[in-house]
Amino acid sequence: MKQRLLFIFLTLVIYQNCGQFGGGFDLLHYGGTAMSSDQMLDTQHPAGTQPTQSTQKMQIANRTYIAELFREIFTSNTSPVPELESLLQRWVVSRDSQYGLGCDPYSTYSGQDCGGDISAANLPYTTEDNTIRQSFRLQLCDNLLANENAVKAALEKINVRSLAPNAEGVRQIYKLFYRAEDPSAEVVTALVTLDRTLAEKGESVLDRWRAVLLQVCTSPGWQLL
Amino acid sequence: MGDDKKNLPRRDFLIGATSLGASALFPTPIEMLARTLTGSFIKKAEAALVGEPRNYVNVMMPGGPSRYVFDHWLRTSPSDPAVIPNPMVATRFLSSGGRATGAEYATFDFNGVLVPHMFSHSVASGDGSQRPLTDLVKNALVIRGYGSGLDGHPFNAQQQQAPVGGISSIAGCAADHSTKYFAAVQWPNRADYQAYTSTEGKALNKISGLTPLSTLMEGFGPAAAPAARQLRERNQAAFAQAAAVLNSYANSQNFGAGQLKTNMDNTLALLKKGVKGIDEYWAPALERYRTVIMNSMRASGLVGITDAALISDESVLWNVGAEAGTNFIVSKDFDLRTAISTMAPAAFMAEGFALTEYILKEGLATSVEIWAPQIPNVTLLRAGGATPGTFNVAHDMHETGAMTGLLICTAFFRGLAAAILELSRQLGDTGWGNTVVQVMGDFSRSARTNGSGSDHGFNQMVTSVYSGAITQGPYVVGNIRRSGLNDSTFIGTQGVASSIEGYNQKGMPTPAMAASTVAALLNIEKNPFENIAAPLVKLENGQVKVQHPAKLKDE
Repeated sequence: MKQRLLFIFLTLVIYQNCGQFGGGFDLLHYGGTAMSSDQMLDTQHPAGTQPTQSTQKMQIANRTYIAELFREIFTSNTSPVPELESLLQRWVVSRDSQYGLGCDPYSTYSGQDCGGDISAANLPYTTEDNTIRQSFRLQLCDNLLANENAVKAALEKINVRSLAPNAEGVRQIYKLFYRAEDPSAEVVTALVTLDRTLAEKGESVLDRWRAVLLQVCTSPGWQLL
Repeated sequence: MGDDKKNLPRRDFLIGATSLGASALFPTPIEMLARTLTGSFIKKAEAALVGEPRNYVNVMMPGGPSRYVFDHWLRTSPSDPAVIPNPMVATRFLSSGGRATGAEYATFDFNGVLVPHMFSHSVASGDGSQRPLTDLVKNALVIRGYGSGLDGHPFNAQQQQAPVGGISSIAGCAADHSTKYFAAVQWPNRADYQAYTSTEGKALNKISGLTPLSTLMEGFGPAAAPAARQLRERNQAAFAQAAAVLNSYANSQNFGAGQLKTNMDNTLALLKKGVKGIDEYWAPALERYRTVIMNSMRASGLVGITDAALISDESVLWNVGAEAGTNFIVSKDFDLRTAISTMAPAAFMAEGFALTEYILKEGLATSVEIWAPQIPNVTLLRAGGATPGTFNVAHDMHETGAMTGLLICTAFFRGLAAAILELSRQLGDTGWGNTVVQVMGDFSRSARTNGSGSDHGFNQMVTSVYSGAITQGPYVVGNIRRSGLNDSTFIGTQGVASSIEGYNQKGMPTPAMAASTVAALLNIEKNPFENIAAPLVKLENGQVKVQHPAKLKDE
């Protein structure tokens, strides 16, 4: 009898707080398909975490942000990269549909003018990520970092005393692109490992820096705001 | 008895079963997690059983042309009451003495369904032959009898693409389950007509410019300056190892990091696969579609369309134009048949189909959104004019009258139908069976009784779907009423939406009805629209099963 009472008590205690699961007796099936895994892991009552909204949009850098970032990293008086602007124009600035940010029909000098075609004037400030964009960004990084002056221009922006890449060096390279985030230990280790592997294979110091820059540049995460 | 250790005594079995039952009632957090994961695995396994979704191709006709000659079907069964005449819904010219004297709504029976006169003809095929339009009708489903109740061009276009907020658009539904490199592609950028959403975060790849295929693929070509790529290729394994960490960990706390990683993985995979033969493909394919569309548009001697002289009486039936003030009446000194002799494929139309063919053949994307705006290069002579000129006839054909509209729309839709047939020929039986093409406009047209033009038919919408998965067609769903709009300007049968008895939407069905019906053909695990609007067809064992037969209601 005591066991039966305990069973009824526990049943009531559990069901009374489970309205958020969409009705008490659905509790037995809540491991099914109706809810996201974020909601599943919430075993606290009331809910301890905010549910993820399906309509949430990623915040991602638009073409102006990306162009400015690259200008900042790769502009140098001592190691000029003459193709920087043409590469930015080809793979970023002219790609409004892939990167977002409409053109300005009234501008002829901002780099955002419509070039006689105003069809892109009403594009949103940012767009969602897409595969074409990533391929363009990959081209930008690959073509830009093919030039050793681009590597040197980026290295001017970091403050590392050692000649070859080290943990502090890769951390600072990372920060050139990821402005609001310090690299995790896993990321630093991965980049240092990459450098060591290249060193063991006899790649030049410049190519080892190039490799670190290339890897960070082509990684997609820094576009997230 | 063999291995006794495997045979549980009944008592032990019952104890175990009780424990399992109790565990189900009182799961620990770990068990909850395990069940969640198991449920997820099961869900994924079920999804795997469904397989890759069908390719989805959305052909948008911005502006909303009149579609009565093509897919806005009115009287589809011999048991339907006769239509109440309206010159704007005519499908065939009447003639006497070698000269057109009027127009009528004419159909013919194909596989038990009355289809518009246009489909009794043939169109050009990419192999140089002629192909009967009934080949397309066999694979057709017409969805009519729905509406939004509100006016507006982009609004209604968006409503049909994504009728329910917070869930995927139709294109997004297919993309949600795509495992292809791009998931979804759109060309050109739809701007205000944009409605793509994917709750699974699958990317929409918008292509800009006038050479869409090279734009789509140019990022995957070789780097002009190869030093960096050569470095990566010399040290592939080391780079791949580092990339795996960076792509997973960098900014991983930010919303969207997973989507970014997926897109980057797709980029790298396609880069590795390599891109070849685009230039060799593009020019001949584009020319093939242009030829097919153009020859189909310009065809002469079509019974009931171009077999009799079309000489204007300079009444409003010979009106042409989008807006009052810019319209004009065709001259009585001009045979209107000349109009289509110069007609060209709508801008983006041939390119869109050539792009779609490449994408689907190469398995690059699941959803493709293309565009067929206005009707270009129509030769016309204004009443009182001396020499003909060429005009682009807008789809928003407010001031395009019954006679001009019948000819121009027939020619345009012949071109579109030919392009779809050519796509199906190129894809082959398997590819076409795995593809669903949806033809969509902002709305249909409300037909003016005096034949002077048409307005926005947002209470009389229609869309049509073509697929090798649809066999033994055509099929038509959705109820319409026999009368016109409640306005003396729009008398006559014109496809005004009507309720469906026993349906889960009361009154006029919304665009969700059409979306749900299209989604039912996409071979996706779950139709996200069905709770709001049940699909009007289901595919069962390769057969289309109509859930609510279409009615022309005498109301």
